[in-house]
Amino acid sequence: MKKDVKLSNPTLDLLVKSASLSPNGILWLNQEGHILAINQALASQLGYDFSQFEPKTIFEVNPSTSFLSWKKRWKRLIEESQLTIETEQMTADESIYPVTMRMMLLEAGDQTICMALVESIVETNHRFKDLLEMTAQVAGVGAYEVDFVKNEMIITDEFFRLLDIPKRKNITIEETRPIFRERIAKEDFPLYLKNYELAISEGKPAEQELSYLINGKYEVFNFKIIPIQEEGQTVKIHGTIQNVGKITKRTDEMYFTKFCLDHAQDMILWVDEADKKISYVNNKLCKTLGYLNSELLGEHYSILVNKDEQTVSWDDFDEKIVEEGEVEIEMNFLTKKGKVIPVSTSTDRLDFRGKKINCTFARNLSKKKKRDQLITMAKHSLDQATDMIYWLRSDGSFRYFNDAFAIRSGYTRKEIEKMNILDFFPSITLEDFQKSWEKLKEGETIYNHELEMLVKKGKRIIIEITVNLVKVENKEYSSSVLRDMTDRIQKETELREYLIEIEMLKANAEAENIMLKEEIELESNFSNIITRDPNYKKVMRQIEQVADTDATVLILGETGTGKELLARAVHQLSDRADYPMIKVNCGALPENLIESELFGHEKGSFTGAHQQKIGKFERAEKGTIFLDEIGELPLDLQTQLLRVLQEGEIERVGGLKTLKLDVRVIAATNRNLEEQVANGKFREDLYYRLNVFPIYNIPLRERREDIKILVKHFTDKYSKKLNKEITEISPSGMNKLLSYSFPGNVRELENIIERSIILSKGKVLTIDSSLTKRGKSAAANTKFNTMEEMQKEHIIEALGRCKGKISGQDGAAALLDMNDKTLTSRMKKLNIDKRDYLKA
Amino acid sequence: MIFEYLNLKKLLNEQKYITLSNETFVKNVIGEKQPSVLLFGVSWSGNAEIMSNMMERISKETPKEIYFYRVDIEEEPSIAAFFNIHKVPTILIIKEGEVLELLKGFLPASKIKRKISEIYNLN
Repeated sequence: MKKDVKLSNPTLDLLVKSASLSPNGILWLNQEGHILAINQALASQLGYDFSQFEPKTIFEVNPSTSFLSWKKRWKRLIEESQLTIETEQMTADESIYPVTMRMMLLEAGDQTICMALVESIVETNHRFKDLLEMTAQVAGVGAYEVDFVKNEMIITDEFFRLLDIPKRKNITIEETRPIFRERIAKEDFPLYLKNYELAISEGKPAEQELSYLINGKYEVFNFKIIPIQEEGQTVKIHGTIQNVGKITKRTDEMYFTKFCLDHAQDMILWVDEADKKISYVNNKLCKTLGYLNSELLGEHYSILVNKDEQTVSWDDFDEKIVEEGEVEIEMNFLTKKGKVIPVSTSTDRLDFRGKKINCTFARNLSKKKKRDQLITMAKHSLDQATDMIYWLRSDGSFRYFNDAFAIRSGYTRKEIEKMNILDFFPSITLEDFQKSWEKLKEGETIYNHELEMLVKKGKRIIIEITVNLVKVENKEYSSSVLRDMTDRIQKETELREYLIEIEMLKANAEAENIMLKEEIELESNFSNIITRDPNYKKVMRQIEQVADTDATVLILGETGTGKELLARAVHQLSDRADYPMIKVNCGALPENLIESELFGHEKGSFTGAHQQKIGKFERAEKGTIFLDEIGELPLDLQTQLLRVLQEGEIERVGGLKTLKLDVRVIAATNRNLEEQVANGKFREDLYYRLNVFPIYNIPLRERREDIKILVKHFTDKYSKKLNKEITEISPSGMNKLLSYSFPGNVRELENIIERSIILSKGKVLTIDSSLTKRGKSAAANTKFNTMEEMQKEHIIEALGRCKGKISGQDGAAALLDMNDKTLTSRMKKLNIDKRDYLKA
Repeated sequence: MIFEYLNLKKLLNEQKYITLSNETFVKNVIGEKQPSVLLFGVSWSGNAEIMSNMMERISKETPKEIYFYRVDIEEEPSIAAFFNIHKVPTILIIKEGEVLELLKGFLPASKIKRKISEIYNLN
């Protein structure tokens, strides 16, 4: 139709006429966008009757085109003479559809007009859609799109058909869920859901083969999910489904095979022989080695094996697999983290689609190795045990026995294997054995602490036995632990005999106690220290301390206290005990002889020196020299002695040679050396030289507890010596001795006893009063109070004065200038009784 | 079992050198696998007292496994009679009731230590 707009144009008429045949819509427009003419096809495209076409401008047909954009388009047309645009066209019922518009400018008469050829894109799409639908049908592919923004779902017809869902126009996501839940096979549904969730939450595409129920039978579908994301959000999901096929026996088998492979005990690995790349791994392998399936496929197999550590020669392996078709070896696999896992492998070579595949089954040996190790250790422990151990079957035959049992029994292992337990225990009958088996079954433990066991050659041993029932893989065994008690019982018997002997001796000894006491002798006849007084213990401790030190010892003490005795003790307890102790009494020698006596002299060194003399020092070589009464030593000799002590050298009188000596010096004196030093009678330096380890030998009056025992000791000694039979001391005699002050100390006591024995008649020792009345003053004749006695009297007097009051300003403690507590404890120690001081 | 093994070691941990009485003697000395060193003395012998001090010192210097005992032969005459000991001080080294060494009288510590170590090495 030609629009009667403004002008008539013969060229246009001709064009319109010829275009009436075209299947494409064509319209002619002027520069202002007025529609000059249209053809039949365009009218029908836009849903108008050709004769009644209403729109007058392009803007009415093409709503997205504005006047301004038309102007621009015109301008471009002038420049480019042709233009193709995609735009939209509005139909009579105001629906809009996309179109392609090809435009060109024409000179029609004096007018420039635009001819536009309009092609519906929908038209093109329709054809494409038809093509797609046909393809979908043939291939059995359905598709859908889920738009999460609009909450819409677009589903292809094929989708409905394939999944056997009645076709509906608007189906929502929610509506599909229960259908899928019902019809997707149970084993596949969790993964389907998971894939879907992952697609939504993380945008991960997925593909899954699943079984879907169609008419009561499962068919296999391939589900693909392709999420589309915008700004990290999944906005759409495109999905396809494809019918892979009906589940046949074969697909079932494949499913089961896959399941079995993935759940197999062994790790399974396929390696392409040509390029050594991994083409298959099962789940077990991935799990054990810590890989994802996808991390291994296509990788070189060496990723899994520790090539450096292998005992396997890979060249040999390759050669063998080609030659023999299978190889069985042990090797080490590596986990992703680098941990070594020992495996035993079996590899087969198979042809698969023209490729040679090495299919390896590998079993994890870690646990087995550990178990093997434990078994070896346990077996070793059992065999190393000193106890005998065996396991019996219910018929009494041996299931297991350890080395200790084999050795102790005396039989060989083979012999024992053929024997029955009753052969070893003749006292046990078969009935007994069966009874005890029943007991064991009830959970009892059988214990016998003394059972006779018969070993080879008829020998009998005593054993202690503990038996338990053990169940191993539904079989019952009795497990016995035996301990050889022969030695222990023998020892017990011996000890029992000892005890009887001891008990007998004890009985005898008690009867003969007194006799035995008399028989007690002292090992040494000449150097016995007799003491029990606690005051003397310090002296003995000092002797023990200094004896083996080689130090010079200075023994101090009054005459008669037994200084030589102590010197001997020191010598005997020293390492010099095997050499002599030479005693020199420095006070007893004439002054002119002391020097030669100590150091010796050469022949002719002085008048009367007819021959060489070895001095005491020389004689004491390696031993001890005891210089008694050192305080009496003349000063000039003190100088010489000092030299000996300092240098360890002597010179004989008249000699030229210096002799090196190894002598220990013990010196003793009853003098106060410090006083002598002060008086210039003793060299100070010698004093210090000697005073290295002083021992103060206390006088007898300070160790009164020893008087009784010394009396007894000397009585024994002299009655034996003088051949007198004295068994008792008169009590009065003993009292005299106990109250005597012994200014001459032990030596005086010894003399008193010796004299008394001589004077005694009969078996009783009497002490003559005259013997204990010797003393420096008359006071010594009366009882001389000891320190303690003095203290006691003094305290009693003080308490008397204070009327028994101890503490406070007017108390005895204050009077005595003592601490209250000290006084109280002193009173307790001195046994001061209330009566004592109240009386006073 | 007649002999109940007294837990002597526990006692010895507190005091290694102990005074031996008749009862402890059989239980612990005769039956003991480890060597024991016995010093026989009497209360009034200073020499025995000195030796006792020495043994106490030695006991601290020797391995724990050797036990030291002191026997007062007046207090425990049956032990003295068992070994036929009449003189003091006397030292016996015994093991499982058997006398390994008899040392009489006053002796230097070095000699006693040597004997003990000889016996200890034998074990």
